[in-house]
Amino acid sequence: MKLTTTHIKGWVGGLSLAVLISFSSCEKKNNLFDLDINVDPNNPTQGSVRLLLPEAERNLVGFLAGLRNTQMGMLGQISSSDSYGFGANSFYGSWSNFYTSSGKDIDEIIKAATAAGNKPFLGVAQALKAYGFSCMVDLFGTVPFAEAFAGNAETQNINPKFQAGKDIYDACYKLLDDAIANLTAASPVSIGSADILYAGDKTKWVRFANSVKLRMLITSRRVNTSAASQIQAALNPTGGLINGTSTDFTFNYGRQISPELRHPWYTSAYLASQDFNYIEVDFMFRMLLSKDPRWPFYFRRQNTRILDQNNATDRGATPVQGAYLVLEPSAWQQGIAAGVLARTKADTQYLAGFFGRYRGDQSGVPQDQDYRTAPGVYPAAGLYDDRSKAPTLLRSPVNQGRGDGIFPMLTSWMIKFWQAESELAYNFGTPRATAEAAVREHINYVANFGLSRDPNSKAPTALEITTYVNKFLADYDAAPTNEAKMNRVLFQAWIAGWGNGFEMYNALRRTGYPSNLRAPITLYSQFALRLPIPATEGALNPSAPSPLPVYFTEPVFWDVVKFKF
Amino acid sequence: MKKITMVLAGLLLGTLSVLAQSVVKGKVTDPDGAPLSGVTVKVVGSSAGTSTDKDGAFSISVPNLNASLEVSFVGYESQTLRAGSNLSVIALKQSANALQEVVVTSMGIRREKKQLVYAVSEVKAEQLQQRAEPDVLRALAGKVPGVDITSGGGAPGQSTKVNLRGNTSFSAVNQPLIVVDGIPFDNSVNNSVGFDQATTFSNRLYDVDPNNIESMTVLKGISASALYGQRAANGAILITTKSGAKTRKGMEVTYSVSYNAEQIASLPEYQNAYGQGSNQNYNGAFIGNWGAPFADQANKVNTASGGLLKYPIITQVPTQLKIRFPGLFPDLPDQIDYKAYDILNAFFQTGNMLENSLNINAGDGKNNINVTASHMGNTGILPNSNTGRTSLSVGGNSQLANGLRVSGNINYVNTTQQNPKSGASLFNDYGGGTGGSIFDRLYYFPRSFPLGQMPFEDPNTGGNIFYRATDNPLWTAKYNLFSSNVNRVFGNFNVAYSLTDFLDASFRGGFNTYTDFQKQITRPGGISGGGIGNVWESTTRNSEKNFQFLLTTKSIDLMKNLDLNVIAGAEANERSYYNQYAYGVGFIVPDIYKLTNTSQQAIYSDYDRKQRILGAFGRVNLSYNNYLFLELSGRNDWASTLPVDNRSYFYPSAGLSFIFTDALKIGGNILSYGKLRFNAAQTKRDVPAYQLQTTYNVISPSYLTPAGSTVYSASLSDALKNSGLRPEGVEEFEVGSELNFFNGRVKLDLTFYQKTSKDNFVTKRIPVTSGFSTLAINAGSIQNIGYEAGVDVTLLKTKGGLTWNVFAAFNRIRSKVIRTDDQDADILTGNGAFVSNVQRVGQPFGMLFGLASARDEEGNRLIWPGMGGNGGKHIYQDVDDIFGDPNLDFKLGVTNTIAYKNFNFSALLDWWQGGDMYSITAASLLLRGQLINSADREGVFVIPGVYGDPDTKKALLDDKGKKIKNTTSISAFDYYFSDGFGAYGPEDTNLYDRTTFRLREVNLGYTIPKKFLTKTPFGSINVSLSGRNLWFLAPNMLEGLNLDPEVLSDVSTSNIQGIDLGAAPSTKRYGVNVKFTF
Repeated sequence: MKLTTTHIKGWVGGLSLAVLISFSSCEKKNNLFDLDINVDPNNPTQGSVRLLLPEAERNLVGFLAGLRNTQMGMLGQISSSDSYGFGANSFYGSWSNFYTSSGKDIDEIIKAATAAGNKPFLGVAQALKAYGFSCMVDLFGTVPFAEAFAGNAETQNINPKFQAGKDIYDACYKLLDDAIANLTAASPVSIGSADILYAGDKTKWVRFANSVKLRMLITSRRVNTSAASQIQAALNPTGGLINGTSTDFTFNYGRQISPELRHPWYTSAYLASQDFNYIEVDFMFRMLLSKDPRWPFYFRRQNTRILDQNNATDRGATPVQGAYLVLEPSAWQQGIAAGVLARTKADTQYLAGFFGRYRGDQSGVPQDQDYRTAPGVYPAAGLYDDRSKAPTLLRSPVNQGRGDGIFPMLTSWMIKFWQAESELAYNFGTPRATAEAAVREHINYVANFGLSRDPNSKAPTALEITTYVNKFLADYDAAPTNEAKMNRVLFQAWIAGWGNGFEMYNALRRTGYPSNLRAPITLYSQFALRLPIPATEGALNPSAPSPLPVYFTEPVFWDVVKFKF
Repeated sequence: MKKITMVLAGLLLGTLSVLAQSVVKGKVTDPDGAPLSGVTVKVVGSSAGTSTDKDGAFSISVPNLNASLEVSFVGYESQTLRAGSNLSVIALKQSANALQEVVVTSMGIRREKKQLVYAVSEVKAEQLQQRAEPDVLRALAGKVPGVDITSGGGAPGQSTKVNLRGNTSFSAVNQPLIVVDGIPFDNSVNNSVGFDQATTFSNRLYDVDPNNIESMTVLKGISASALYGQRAANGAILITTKSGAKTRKGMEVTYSVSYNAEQIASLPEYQNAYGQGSNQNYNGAFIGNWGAPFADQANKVNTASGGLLKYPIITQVPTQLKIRFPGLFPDLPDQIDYKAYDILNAFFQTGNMLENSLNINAGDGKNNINVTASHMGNTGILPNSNTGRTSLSVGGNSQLANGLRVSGNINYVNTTQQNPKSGASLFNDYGGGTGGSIFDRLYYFPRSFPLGQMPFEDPNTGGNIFYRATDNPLWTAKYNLFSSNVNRVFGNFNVAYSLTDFLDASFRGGFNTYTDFQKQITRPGGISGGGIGNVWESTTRNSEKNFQFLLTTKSIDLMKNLDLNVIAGAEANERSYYNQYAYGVGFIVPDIYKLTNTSQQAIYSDYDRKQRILGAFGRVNLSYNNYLFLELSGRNDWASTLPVDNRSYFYPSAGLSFIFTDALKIGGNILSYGKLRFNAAQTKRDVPAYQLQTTYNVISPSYLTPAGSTVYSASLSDALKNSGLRPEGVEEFEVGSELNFFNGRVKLDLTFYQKTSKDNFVTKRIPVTSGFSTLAINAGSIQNIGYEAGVDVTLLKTKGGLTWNVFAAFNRIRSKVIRTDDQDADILTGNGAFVSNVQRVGQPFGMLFGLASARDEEGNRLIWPGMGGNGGKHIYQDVDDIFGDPNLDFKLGVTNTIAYKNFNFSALLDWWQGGDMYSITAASLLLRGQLINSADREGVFVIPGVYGDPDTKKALLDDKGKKIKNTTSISAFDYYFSDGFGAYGPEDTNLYDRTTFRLREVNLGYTIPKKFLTKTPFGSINVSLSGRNLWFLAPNMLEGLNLDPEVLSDVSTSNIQGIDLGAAPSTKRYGVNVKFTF
């Protein structure tokens, strides 16, 4: 409604209007009497699928990356969440991120693309939705699905119902089938650069959709009576699976500082504040003992100095008994026995650089940032660790390395590990060869990545790789049963899971393997069988389960192991 | 105005029936000779009367020249003259009687105070000037009943909060409308970044120089500010500047100069017994002081108890520096004595403030001009902290021959501000922030760390040097500077014309616009800024246009003893705001802190906002017999920010005042004057702009792929808007009384009010699974019940010229949240700290919310039974809950003024009673074993409380059914550090009652007797000494903490309250002022 003289009755308005008329203008922007100016000039009221897709993809990656450390901590690789001391709202940030950012924008794309008959965008969004929600089920068990994102719906619903994980899985299979159908349909629309993950390549998206389906079948195989046949079918789908680096579902971090696009591990470990988590000593040391060719790519030592136990300050910075390997006799014994250490000055300095913590060490944090072992070039795109050279402090000079790391979300080598697991579980194929291929592929994957990021990286020799693989295979062959062999394979998957987190958390809950991880020193609760659904959601949403599931006693629907320390 | 009897009005009522026998003419002026228009001239004993015209002239028919003429005018003493006497200049004296006091009210209309139906307080310029205070609001603190002022800390220019009659909104700014010379004056805080980065943003009322103020009026209730409408829902403060005031005849030049020294108001009392480390073991890399004792302490303990305490002789800090920065400091001694050093006195400096102000005022009675130029410079107690304010204003008014009355003024102000990063320390200590505030560390160094003796920058690169991964405060203070530069221009013009003898029309238009350019530098080589440094620049433009058209009648005699006044008007207002915020990282060339010298830049904000309000209003005043007054008003607004259907809204007010001493003729020497006031008023107001339609956010800066191509993207906002929003409402009911006893020796002004806001705009939290995190709705409701009292007692008034006056201003508010949202869920507000404010139905506004210790029903803390482990330590509550009430019980300011001959002394003492404060400063000092109260730590400590069951949170009972007092002792380290009363303990262990007694202001002035000035060019010289915040006592705070409880928990526009986050401390000032007139 524009204000006109009819609205201000009488001579008061008339007179004032007459005087003020010289201050009004025909142009709306400058007309003091025009009240129709409440359209936000800063933000659009329409979104286009081309603009929504890249943001949805980035936010989905951000959501997954936000939970990566938690799972790696729970599985004994870094000192994050490694005592299971979760608060009622510990994961509200991730939960909220999924539902208000990527999940919602994917849903917006589905709505808009359905209305416009835009099949390629629809297919991509459906595949992403299925992947996102299957991850949500794996993490939180029961979540809103069908009624989610209805805050702006014609019939507004701000309190969506929660659905059983199994139902959501079933709906996701359907979504994936629809996605593949839409992606294979002929369409004049091309996605192109709006897709920052696959650059609009529909055949890769089909491979992705097929791989997500396989991942879900593997994950839920213990509660699926027809898993064996379904998995075998899913291993050879029409359109194929992810089958190498060009089709891997990964996110490449950048080198850009502002806005920050570098790998979060890099920014926390390589910049001046140096507040990266501790790496679990046991994880590093096992890889040293097995002469794992990936060690120099995974980790970067900083210091060769041995903390002086007669100096109060140094003593205060020393990790708990046993974890400071250079002063730990048993570590030396094992290292010498494995032929990876000798009592030389060089090796002493080398071992002094193994500075981390035991799983679940909750003691206070001393001034030890100059000592802590940092993540290396893979996947953080920090620095390669050349054992033959003394390392330098990462804070000085600043900005060593570049931060253009990678987040492997769904890769070819993961599929090989799943294939090996299912071949062992259901007695088909050649599990030994599949497992060997998985390990070899991952070692090459890591080495190639490192070489592409830090020019000082050195590729492991074929002999080093073969020695390592043969040791694994000997171990595999020595295992008496398929289950025991699976345990060995999943230990390798655990090593390969550095920088991913999701797959090893799922694998342990699905199989109980690898069974030989060191238990945490401190436990605040039992092993987390799922993540706690945020209390805030419970408080705000009357449709949420009440009480909310207890995260360390109530497993997700596919978990029959119910792992416990 | 009311007393004026108009000839025309008389004609209308048919009362002018006397035939003229002779006509006399005359002219009425004020004491300075300026003509007074509208003065009533009556023939005594008849109904004949007239009033003076714009030149002060009148002519009146009198029966004979011996008739008596009564000349009377509001605010002046009446005179009775013989008609035949010389009437050419009748100079009226201004009334000494306060009852005739004239005050500026809504829309700048001057009215006799006795007629008002609501509480209004006027503050004279002298009460604000030369008070060692460059901030108008701080200068006002404690002087006006019902005005609640809280300053935000002692960094130069740091913002100050003002509130009248409580909070009406959970999220919007709860500060009054500021009107300068009739045009709204934006008082925002343009805080480009959060409280964790820098807290030193100003509120923009800081642009007003107290020296440039002629008078100030506080309209507390919405009845008083009704004509201003919605924007005065939290009251209004009207400021008349010197150049906006009507000037007097003649010429006067006033020059004043002030110089003040500025110092930190208080420092914590540190312990000097123990140094760096933990568990009584030395550790040279630690911050905390739980290490080994210093030599004196060890010897003392060993002598007293035969102990065997060991202590190191030297501190390893230099060694730590050498390990961290190998080869950089060859000359640094390896060893320095292990003892307590004086750290803070070496850091804080003495600041100063210099003010110069020149005012020239010239006029011939019809045409006047006023020019003011002033400058203020203030350097603070932190290195590199300062503000400056330069203002220039020109104003004038003129009566044109054609009857137009024209006035206008224009003002230019440049306000500059610079401060090193001095934001809230909490965020870096516990929040994992990288703000890099000086106060992250400054108060919490190891006692054995001699800050001033250690290097703080790399001699080669200028990079930060510290023994831990933290920025050295000296380095931050030198390089990491925030600055703001405000250029503000505001002005107005006013044209008035008498349409008829009883009807005046006026038109006022004005604008007020400023640009605030802010910049913050984080130098490379530090911890904050990731080592590579960054710079941000923010430009804010804020503009306001306001046009008003007013028709006012003079008093119309409706019938005998019943007078009528009518005002009608219309107003148009437009506000626009613009902000651009750009950020650059990684300096290419050292020491050039420009965006163009950074390797990567991004624009984070480029935001425009515009909103308009149109209003039409009217007011009717009826006066019966000059002792009963009725006022009715109404206003309709049309607001651009509301949906079309809800855009137009009307709100009324009504009030009555009754001077019962006049009406009942009971005025005597004891009760000389008594008045009762009643009013009820409603205001409605619009909602923030752009809340009707959910939008998409275009993501900026764009995403750059690793391959280097730019990807543009957008996301649907997670704030769900609402196209059905309605205006908010505020309703108020007020009762008051003014009572004068003993002929004005004792004056009371009492007010009670109840103010309730309804349909508040709130962004309600909704389940994020809906895809959105908030939903805009109208739901909130807050009630405030308040008591205001002004007590003015002249204790002494001797013939020798000694007077002693005491004025007390009292303010008490009780708030209650009536509704939060449509489900009455808690609303949490906070700035990211782990203690928040919560709005909960039935509770006072903004209660403190956090994880507190579990308590039994009597309030005893519950303690884990048993030894070892958790034994002897707090049992915590399961979830965050309310643990403190930050709202003060009352504020009382008492000003003593003693005048004797040419001397004048005043002292303002104020008293804040009650109110809880959660103190991070206390928590951090306790945590690190700094305070004097932790000097004794060889013994064991017992937390006061009773044993409890950790599962049921109930007290354990002994076999007689009695509670068991906790006797489990824990070490001093555990008591303060791990789980006791320090920062790692439950939130309620650092909750303190902030009752404070303060000597806020002292002033001693001397006016040089005129006889000494006869041979000088000076008309008068006044010299005064002034002091501010010279002393305070907060008896219920932690011993030795010495923290000034007058702090804000954020910038002044925030509603977060009762949390000390450890930012810039308060200061005291004292100095000398000289004022000359020529």
